[in-house]
Amino acid sequence: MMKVDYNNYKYYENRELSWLKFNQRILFEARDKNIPILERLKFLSITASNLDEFFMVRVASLKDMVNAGYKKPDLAGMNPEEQIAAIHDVTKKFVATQYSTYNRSLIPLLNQAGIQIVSCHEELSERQATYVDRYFEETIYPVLTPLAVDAARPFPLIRNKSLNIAALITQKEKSTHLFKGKNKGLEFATVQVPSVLPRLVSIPTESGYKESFILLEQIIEKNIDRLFLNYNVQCAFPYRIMRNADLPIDEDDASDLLKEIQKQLKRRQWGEVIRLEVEEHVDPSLLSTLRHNLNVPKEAIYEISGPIDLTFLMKLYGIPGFEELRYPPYTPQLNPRIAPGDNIFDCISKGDIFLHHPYETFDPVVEFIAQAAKDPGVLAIKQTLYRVSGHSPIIAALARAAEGGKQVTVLVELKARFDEENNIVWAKKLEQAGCHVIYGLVGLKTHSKIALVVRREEDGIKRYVHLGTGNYNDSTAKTYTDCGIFTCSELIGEDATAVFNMLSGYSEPAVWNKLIVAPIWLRKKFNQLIEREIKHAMEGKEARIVCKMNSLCDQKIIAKLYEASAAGVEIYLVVRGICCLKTGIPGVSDNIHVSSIVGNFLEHSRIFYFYNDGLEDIYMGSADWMPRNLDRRVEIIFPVEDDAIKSRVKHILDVELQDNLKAYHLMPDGEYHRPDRRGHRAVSSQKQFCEEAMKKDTSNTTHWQERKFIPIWAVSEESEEET
Amino acid sequence: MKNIKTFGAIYIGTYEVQLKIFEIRSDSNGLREIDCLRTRTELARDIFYHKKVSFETLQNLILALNDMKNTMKTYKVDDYGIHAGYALKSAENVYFVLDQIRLHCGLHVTILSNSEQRFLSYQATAQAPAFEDLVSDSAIMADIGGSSLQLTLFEKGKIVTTQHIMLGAFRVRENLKRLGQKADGREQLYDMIRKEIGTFTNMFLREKKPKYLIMLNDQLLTVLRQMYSYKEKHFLTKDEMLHYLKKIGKDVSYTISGQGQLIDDPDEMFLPFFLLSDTLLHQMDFDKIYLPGASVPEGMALEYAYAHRYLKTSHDFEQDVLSAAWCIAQRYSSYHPHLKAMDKMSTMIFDATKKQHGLKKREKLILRTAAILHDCGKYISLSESPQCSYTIIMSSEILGLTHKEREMVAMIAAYNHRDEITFDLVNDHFTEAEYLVFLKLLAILRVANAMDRSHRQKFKNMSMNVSKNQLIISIESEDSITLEKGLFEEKADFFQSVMAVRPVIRERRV
Repeated sequence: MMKVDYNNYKYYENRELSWLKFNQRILFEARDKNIPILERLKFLSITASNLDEFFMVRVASLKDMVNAGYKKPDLAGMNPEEQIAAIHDVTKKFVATQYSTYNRSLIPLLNQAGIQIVSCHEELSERQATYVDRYFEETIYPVLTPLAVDAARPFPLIRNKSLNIAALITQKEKSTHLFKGKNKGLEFATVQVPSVLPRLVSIPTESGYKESFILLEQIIEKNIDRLFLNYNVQCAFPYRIMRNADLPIDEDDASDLLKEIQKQLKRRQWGEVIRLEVEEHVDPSLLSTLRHNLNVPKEAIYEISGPIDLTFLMKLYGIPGFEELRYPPYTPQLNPRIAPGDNIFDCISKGDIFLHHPYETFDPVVEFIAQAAKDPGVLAIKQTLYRVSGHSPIIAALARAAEGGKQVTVLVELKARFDEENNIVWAKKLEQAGCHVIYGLVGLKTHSKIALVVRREEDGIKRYVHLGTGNYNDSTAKTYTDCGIFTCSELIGEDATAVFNMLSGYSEPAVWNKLIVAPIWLRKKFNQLIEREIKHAMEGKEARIVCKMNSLCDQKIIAKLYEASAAGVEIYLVVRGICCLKTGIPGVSDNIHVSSIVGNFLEHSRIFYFYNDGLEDIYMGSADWMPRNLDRRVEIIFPVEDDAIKSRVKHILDVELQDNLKAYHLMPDGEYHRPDRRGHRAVSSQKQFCEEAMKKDTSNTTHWQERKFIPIWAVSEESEEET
Repeated sequence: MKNIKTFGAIYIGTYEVQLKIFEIRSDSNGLREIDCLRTRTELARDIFYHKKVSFETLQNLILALNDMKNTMKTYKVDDYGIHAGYALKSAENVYFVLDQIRLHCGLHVTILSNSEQRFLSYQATAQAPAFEDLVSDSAIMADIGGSSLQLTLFEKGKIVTTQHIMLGAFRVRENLKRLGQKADGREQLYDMIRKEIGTFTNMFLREKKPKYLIMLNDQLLTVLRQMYSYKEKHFLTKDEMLHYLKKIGKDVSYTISGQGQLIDDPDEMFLPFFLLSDTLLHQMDFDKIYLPGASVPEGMALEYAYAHRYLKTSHDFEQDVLSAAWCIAQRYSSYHPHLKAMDKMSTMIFDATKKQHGLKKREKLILRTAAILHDCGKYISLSESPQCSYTIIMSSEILGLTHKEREMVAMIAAYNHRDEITFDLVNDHFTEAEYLVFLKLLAILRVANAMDRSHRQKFKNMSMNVSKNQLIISIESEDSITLEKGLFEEKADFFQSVMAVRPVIRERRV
């Protein structure tokens, strides 16, 4: 057999382009006629905010590479410049689809449903026009800061992501301006659309509509001449810029990480402009003024045929009433093992507990910390916090515990993108309460999700651990699909203690009992697991890998998967976002199947299943198969060992692989398509999990009673080998 | 709450500070480690280069100790111990350091003597079930420290010798830095280590081949576990071990060239450990290697548990002390029958006068050790023998005796023949209470010595009992015991002045 070079560029998809395809899949949802209209608006809004973040982080860092003269190609063989060009190319088409969806499908549908969005101020009725003028006068005008540019006033700083209106103005003939005559020509002026006011302004309705809205910038545009009293406004157009927002923090020098991040937050506004959005048919001289002053290359200019920045649609999604235009709300169900009011430690002591959010409520996790804070036997609570909701009950409970004299150690990761300001506030709050707060590790983000409660009991010290795939955030837990387990296994407890000691700056333990911890051991472990399947396949045994994750873009792992596929291992991957792996390449990836689920909930859990010749190994955790997760973060992967939980996790993978309503399959041509449903039962995994959770009877699923003991009657050959 | 005690053990080594929290469970007769904090310290570097602990190192140490103290508080420990390694003593500012720790952390650190320090890890190792089997054959136990190396030889379950070699991982590290630049630097270093270890093998291992090598350090074990998914096996054959060492050697140089991530080793301590272990393993002849992975904190917890009778030891550590003493006596050619008689007689006197002296088991051990070693100095000088005995004892290591106890033994040997023993003379060695113990043990030893003045073990069928302020020693003897009797009175006076009982010899005619 000819040896295949699995590292060949042509076997890989560029991660940015793959990401854009992911956003495309979300856009498909916005175009899906079977979905209620407001849900479709939400998906459209998500594509917009996703794209913003993508530009600020990914395109920005490519831009940095170009500026630094970095030419090294990525895993698909593209250098940074080529990547940026390709991104702009794809994104322009993508944006066009976004707006045609908005203009041609969603707006008419909204109108039909009785919701009017007045797209430009000229379309306002007289009554509405009077209303918006008064609104301008009373509410908007006081917070506006118009800025003109001339010889004495340089081009102002335009804030990142802020919506602005640019105008060309000329002086009025009759004005009593002192410098009259000096600046005869066109002048440039700009005004920021205030971010403190709601973008979507509710206005009086006209007949036939139940709700009417206009966008804030339209009101300003309508009244723009009032801002420049001595001038004539020739034209006015909204625009928006996107700047480089990746935070390059030199951690070796940062003695105080917290201060450094606060400093960086201010600096972020000054970054290089990487995208300029202007309204379609913008005045050419206005555009060229913007372009030159903001120093934007031509390909980074986007002409938008509709309102710039569609993220306001999220607000529209939330308007009161119109329930029929949304999915019926889903209430997370009780966990069958934990009834409200139960002592959670007693529950855990009866056996490991599996949690599947948002199908099951996140309350037990909050309760875990809350009860620990009150429990007199609890000595210490230790937890990692990554992205936390503003008024998190977990934070409140931790603070209470510290005030009550328990030792509370919290690892706060400040480098969670864009959440820094939020994080700093509550981290300070925790410190004041007497918690021991650790602000991350130099050089590594802490991405692991683990909580440990040390309790002194009759029988000595006992440790309770929660391990999860999602953040300790009670609000995202309602929309992100995540898994978690509670356990009081001694071995995992020891590991958890060691994890926190390590995070507090102490040396790593000699051995980890159960947990696999990145950045040091994780990559090796996955490699071994895949290799074991390869070995089994070579020996002619059944070999299978089923993994679910958010992103797959680690070149070494992908190469290993190709090797496995070539060796005959069946590989099923459920990858929500980026997937740099290509399927269906003969001799390389013909045994690999990739699907992606985009549903009402955000797929977030990471599950790794290895058939292992029948002795199935299942792991869950916080890490994706991305270089950053494997090499630059503190991640934890934990084994699922309890038989009952194992079968539940397998069930999750099973149903997701069967999904044919919300799943897309990655085809050999690199495109994602809905699977063929003919002859198959229609399955939407998320819907099925909701139904299953609702059906679950809390009285008889207590698995510790069901557990069967299997006696060994004869010693098999294998067990002999092991001892 | 069941009978569970929680104990915190802090050990300040020269390159690492450790806190281990243990649960001591009398029902299962064992320790359960529930937490372990380990952090690096630059003590070794400071002491090596500047002969004192730098301010910065001290600050960091105080920071770590305060954190450890808080951790102990969290676990609500019943008791704790905090010891510093022997090497700290060589810092000029050691008392300042201890005082600062006392002031800032409220922790009273005791510095271990070398043999105390080694004993603790030995104690932890000896707790392992396999240990008795190991030493019952023959075994060499190696303990590589930051500043020195300890080698102990066991034969037939007894300690033959224990030797302290001033070559620790830290010194190797510093030499590596200095010699590492030169082309043959590594080779020179190997030579140096080989020579130091060679001296030991030449003196104690000539024509002997210990069956087992016990490596107390956990560094190797750690690497085996982390790198090669080493499954817990009690023994590795020498070949297996050498195979691993070869692998590690390769990977270590791989790591040094900056390519791989071998082990979390920010202070480059692993390589020196590896070089030392590698040389040691190549140099020694043995069949199998045993890696118990025990450490000083375990020993501290065990000592606490034994002392408070929460746990019982399976190994007889007192026997180790005695056999070590016998080996020293043999090395200095003391007259064995006399020593045997001395041991026996002093034990008998001790037992018979328990009520009068009120001393305990531990003092009896000191007495017996002193009896065995009391005239080892004769090997060097017959006239200056007490002084020489003192020096020999103080420079020999006896695993299982504390520094204080060893000093007591040495002082008893030194003062065996002195008439004047006022407190003023010895108050730089003893507290008043210790002085009293010293006098009592000395009195017993002197009487015992007088009874075998001729070194001919004339007394047979001895029995002793106390009655009416007299310790009546009934003996049978075929020979004339005039010599013994003549010298006896003087010793009896001393005995009486200390114990308020007068020993009297009653001869039963045969």
